[in-house]
Amino acid sequence: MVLPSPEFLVYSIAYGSVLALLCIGLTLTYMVTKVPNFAHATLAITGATVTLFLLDRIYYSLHPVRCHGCVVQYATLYLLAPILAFIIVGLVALAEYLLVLRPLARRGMGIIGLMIATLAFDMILYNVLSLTLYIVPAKNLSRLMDAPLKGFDVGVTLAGVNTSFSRLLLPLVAITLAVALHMFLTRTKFGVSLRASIENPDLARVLGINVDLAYMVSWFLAGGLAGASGALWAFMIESYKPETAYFIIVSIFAGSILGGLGSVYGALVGGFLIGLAETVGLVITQNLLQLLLNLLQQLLNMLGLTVTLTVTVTLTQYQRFFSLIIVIVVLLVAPQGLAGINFRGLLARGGLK
Amino acid sequence: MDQPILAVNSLNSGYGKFQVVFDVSFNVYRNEIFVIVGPNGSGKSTLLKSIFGLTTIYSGSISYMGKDVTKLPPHVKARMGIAYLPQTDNVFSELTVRENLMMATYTLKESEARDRVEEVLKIYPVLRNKLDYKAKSLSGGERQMLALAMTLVRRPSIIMLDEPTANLAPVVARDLLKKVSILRDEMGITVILVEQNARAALEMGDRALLMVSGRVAYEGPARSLLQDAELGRRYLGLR
Ligand SMILES: Nc1ncnc2c1ncn2[C@@H]1O[C@H](COP(=O)(O)OP(=O)(O)OP(=O)(O)O)[C@@H](O)[C@H]1O
Ligand SMILES: [Mg+2]
Repeated sequence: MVLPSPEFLVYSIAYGSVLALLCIGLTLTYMVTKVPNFAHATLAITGATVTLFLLDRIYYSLHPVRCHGCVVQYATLYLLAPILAFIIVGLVALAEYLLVLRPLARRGMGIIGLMIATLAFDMILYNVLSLTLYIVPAKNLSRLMDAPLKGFDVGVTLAGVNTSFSRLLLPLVAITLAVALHMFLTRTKFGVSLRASIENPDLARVLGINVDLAYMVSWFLAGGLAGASGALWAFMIESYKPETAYFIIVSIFAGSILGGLGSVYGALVGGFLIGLAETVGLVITQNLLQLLLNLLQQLLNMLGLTVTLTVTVTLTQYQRFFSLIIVIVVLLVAPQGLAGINFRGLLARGGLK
Repeated sequence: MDQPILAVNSLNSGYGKFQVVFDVSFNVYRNEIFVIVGPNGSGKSTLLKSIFGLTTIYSGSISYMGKDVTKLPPHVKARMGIAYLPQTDNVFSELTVRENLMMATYTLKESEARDRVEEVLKIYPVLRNKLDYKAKSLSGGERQMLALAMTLVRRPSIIMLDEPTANLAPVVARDLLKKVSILRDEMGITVILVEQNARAALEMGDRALLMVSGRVAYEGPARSLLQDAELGRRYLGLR
């Protein structure tokens, strides 16, 4: 079979949703501060840490395995964790902006300097997380670090597909948050002022808009989105470690670049596509490769040659490599990302108007 | 004369380390049209930006209605009743006309904002049909009208107009300058006007400032500058 299983498809969509939310946040802060925030993935892991602590302190004994009839109570974790993480991580991102980026930018530091500053903040945050997990003893889990968070998800069978609560929830959360963000940016005066402040900060100031406040809110929102998605992403992590962040940052950049780094809608689509490419795309490619080899083998057998051909590489190990290739291709073919492609023009040229 | 509405004292300002304005002082009094003229690149726009706090100020002070506002952030100055029409990038091109006007009335209450927008749409009816278009799809002249509407909609006490007639057809430009007099006469707005068309501006202005290479070359009655053959010929192309 070339196509992956429905289980895997559900997993892919959930993963794509996480990436979409992370790319929206990264793009938002990029539009505001004009610097790629290398700490963005660690912000997401901070969100996952919120889930970890809630699990260890409150929800451990409520897990359906240990408590029958606690499902509803346990399900509140899926609501509480993202909300709490939204606030906490939003504040962490705000701190990054207020304590690190804004003072440096005001002193006239260029983009390279600011980029390195986000890296520095990333290391600080990473170390704070590691240290916290090291110092704070686990209450119910054997250890906080390396906790098998995946095992704390609640299994669900839907239409014959074995999946889990978090995987079904993630796309819904992504859609809800994206729609909410869209409404905020287009329907509220403050949201419009945020777009205005991004496009032309001086003009916004001249009209009496507090641009600084708008930027602070953007950072808070970006951190909040990272926190909320990270809190649910926690259930997809095999075993929890702060350094898990370093794997996903590549994908976040890939999705954001694909989205053009200039529009939250581009980021949404870019993140989702990278998520799918890294999962379903990879599996399909792998299967196609196998199919091709099988055909080749049959052909050779027909010609009287008896050889056995097998694929020895598992592409899934090269997940990030795959997204890096996508980034390179995008930068070569459409440097402005998806948002920069003139789709109407393309359609018109193809006579499909 | 009484207390100036705006007083600039020994202002030195520029962009980062690049100084553009050198030791500029002048007063603007309530209900007058104060014209600023000077060759291209002499620092007129930079002076207006500095008054609003959008440049780096090295020394000097700016006071508005007797209050020192030198260090106040721009959005606070805007809320105090100072309005400014920048020479370039004076509308949000990615926002619709409606959203642009919404931003221009940002500091007002909802109901008041709606009335004021209605008011300026009467003055610039072209905009009414384009409310849901992005500003970048407007023609140069329409965009300038939108920018003007955005400056006037808050009914400021003092407005600084940086070449408001740029991009406008000659007839419309003349009409606009006439409207500037109306602003002063009927609405009691004080106007600082930077204008390329020196003759027209000086004819309608009360007092004037001539800037040359970032310094004040003349400050006084607008008429006298118009009649000063030497300055007029050298810097303003007047015969
Ligand atoms: N954003 C900026 N950054 C750095 N230098 C600038 C900036 N804007 C203007 N300048 C410089 O400041 C000087 C004065 O420019 P300014 O725009 O104030 O002149 P102006 O009198 O308004 O000219 P014009 O009549 O052409 O509008 C020029 O030498 C210009 O190069
Ligand atoms: Mg100018």
